Amino acid sequence: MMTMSETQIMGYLLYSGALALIVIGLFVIVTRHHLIRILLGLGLLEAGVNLVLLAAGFRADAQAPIVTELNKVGTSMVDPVPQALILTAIVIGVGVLALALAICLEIHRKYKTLDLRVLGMIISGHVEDEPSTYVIRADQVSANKAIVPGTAERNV
Amino acid sequence: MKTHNLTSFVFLAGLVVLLAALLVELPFGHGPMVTGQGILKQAPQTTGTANIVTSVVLGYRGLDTLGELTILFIAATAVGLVLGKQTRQHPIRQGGYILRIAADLLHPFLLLLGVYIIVHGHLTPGGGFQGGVILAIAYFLPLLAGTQNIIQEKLVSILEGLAGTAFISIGLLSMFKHGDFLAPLLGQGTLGELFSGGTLPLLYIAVGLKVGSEMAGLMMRMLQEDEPLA
Amino acid sequence: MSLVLVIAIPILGAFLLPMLSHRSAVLGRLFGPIIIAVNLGLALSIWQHVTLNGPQVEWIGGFAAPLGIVFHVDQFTAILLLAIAVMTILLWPRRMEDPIREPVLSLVLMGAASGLALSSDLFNLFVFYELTAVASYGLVASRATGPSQIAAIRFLILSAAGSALALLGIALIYSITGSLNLAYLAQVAPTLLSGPLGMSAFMLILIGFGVKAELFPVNTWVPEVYASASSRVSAMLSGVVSKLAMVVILKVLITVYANTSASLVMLVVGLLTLVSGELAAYRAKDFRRMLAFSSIAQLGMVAMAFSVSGTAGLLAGFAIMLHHLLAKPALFLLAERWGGHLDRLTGAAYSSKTGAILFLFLALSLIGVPPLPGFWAKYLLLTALFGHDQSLYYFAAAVLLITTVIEAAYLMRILQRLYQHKNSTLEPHRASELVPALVLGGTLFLSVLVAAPLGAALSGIARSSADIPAYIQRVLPVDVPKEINV
Repeated sequence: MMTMSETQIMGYLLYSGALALIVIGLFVIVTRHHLIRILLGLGLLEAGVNLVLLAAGFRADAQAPIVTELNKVGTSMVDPVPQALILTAIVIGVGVLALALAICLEIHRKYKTLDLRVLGMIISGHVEDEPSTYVIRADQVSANKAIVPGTAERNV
Repeated sequence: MKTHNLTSFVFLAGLVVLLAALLVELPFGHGPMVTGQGILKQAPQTTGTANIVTSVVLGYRGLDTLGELTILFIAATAVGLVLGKQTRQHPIRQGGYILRIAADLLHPFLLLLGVYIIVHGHLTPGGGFQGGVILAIAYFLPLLAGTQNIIQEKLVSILEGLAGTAFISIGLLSMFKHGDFLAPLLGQGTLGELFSGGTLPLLYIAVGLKVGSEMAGLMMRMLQEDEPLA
Repeated sequence: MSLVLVIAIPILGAFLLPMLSHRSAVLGRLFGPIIIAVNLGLALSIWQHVTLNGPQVEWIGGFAAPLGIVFHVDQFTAILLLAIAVMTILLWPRRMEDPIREPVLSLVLMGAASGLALSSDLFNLFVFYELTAVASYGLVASRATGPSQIAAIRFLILSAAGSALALLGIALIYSITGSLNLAYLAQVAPTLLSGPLGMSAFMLILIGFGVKAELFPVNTWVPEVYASASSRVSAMLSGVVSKLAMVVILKVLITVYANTSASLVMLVVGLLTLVSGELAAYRAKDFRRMLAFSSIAQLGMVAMAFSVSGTAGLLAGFAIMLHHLLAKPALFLLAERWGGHLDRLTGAAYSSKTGAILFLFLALSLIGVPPLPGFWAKYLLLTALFGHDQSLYYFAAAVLLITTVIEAAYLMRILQRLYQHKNSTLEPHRASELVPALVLGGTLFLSVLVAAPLGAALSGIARSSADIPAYIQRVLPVDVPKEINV
């Protein structure tokens, strides 16, 4: 087997880490029902994508893009552009997360649940398009009773 | 294992294989870096900041930073819109003795750290966003520990409005002077000095103040929604 | 006079609005419309400038492309800027529950949408797209009813996940090419981006931006949101924001992925969107949901139009976009009074005569009855599809004709119900709802009278926008060598 240089090992590690984050994040978003867990999955997805962006800027045997007495202008430096892009992406993620949590607060205040299955039935029962198996009225939910068999169990 | 979980796993495995096949192809460590190379060569002369990432964030991609700033502002505004008028005024939970003392002790240090990171954003890693978040944390600690009750909502809104206006005004000023929005002004100065980089440190100060006040206001607003423990 | 002013002025207005409102409530109420009027003036002057002097390019901050961000405006972009400002003022709410925060969100939405139209930089487009996204999450959630919050959070999760995937696509493109400038990417794409990596990046970008562009399969949020949010917000989203998202996908498609199999992907996605939209609209029993599904279908048509490369495709896409941009918000304004279950509409024509006539006109235009503008739009699309020499495109044209029949069915059904002789329980439309709707309908009506010169003008605009080598030449002048060593 070929010996791998340090850069290659670093590359494989970085990309596997990013891959794991992206895939786990997507899995959580797609399969879970609890709103907070879905938001955590969203955070994982965004972290993974930021990692891919970071890896795009790497240059082997280069310094950080800051000019000091040791790194004069002209020394080999990594790409500064992805770092600026990641900065923007992280701040965007924070803003969206804050807004999502505020909406979750409001939903919890109104419906006392954060389970997307229950909430989905509420919204499809509200607008009568396709008749749904349960029609849950808002007053039933706010009475703090378990309406749908099974929601009294732990939310997954 | 239920079939639902099985199909999810199969879907995931396929996704992993696909993405892995893609990511392996990417040139790691020796990318073309067309934009990067160009910026690395010209940035110190054109913008005068030692931290080249700052010159990208505030210079070459200054419009992205304006957008990002606005996203944070809009998110905070939307939170205020969604949570609506403040209906309850519960006293905020008091933390334990150690927590409260530590929060009060850390508060001035965090403020100092935040200001340092903002002001030195063009010389060392850091900048407006990072320092602004630390400034906000300086207020999160007393809020969460229960030693500080209220941040004036009006103060927050005035501060963020003024800071945002300052950012755009600097941009408009450079437009009137040079014809280009957010072009660097005021000369470059000596590389590595505190007073270098023209208007870029000023932009970062505006960003830092805006981010700090916004995040602190957000935390305050969300804490007001907390119900007291029975 | 910088192009950035169209973006900076609304954002500045949004920053200042809370402070001004605390001083004087009256000034706060007037400030929003004043800013929109300023934007309208700017858009008009840009239109005039571009018509006289041809397409313009601006390097933001004075930093040369491809190092900095580039703005590019041609006649179609100028029309979009005008449309954004006009729609924002027409859909400005009369009565606001929160007179400070809602105008802030609307102003920023206007600025960010203008940014999407102007920008020629991949990441800059992403930032403005996220800005419109957050503003729309806020506007959708602003109505305090429970279902609108649920719709808002589901919309948010889908859109944020899509945006993360789009960013992954952008990261892949940057890793391979090292640049974010669309013109530079157009030059290196044939060599670097034609393999599986490039196509995967395109798919990721399509999924990501397709959320707002209401494309299949990421458009599940559309019926819920349009049914729960206030009609004016739905009008803004379906009329303006979805078009701008489509424009972003178009920019990436025709610059970076011209003449690749990406066009086929667009066609398939457009077909699926069209079919699913029309079938769901047929089954819908709620007025706003029907409008939502019809909106999905029209955007599917736009996607099909853009999948045909060259002037014909662009012309058809522009025509459908402009037609829908005027028609759908007018329908949503009518829905302010008529929203809800379709059974409520029985006999409503007799309580609101103008509304019913307007609905008749708009419905006929959407179906595509000559000589209404909707007919011309669909006709251009059919011509474009038949002009492309591939069997899938002929099939798409056939599907378009079949779905038109379905569209006619459900729209006529509503018309029949409107004119049934029964005492209607609905109140007539208020002037504040009818006037903007009549303005939009009137514009469509006028376009019938000037159909020939309008068609010629649009044709010229499409030809100029389809000219990619000229675009590259403008953004990256030849004397700047590809390897930047200034």
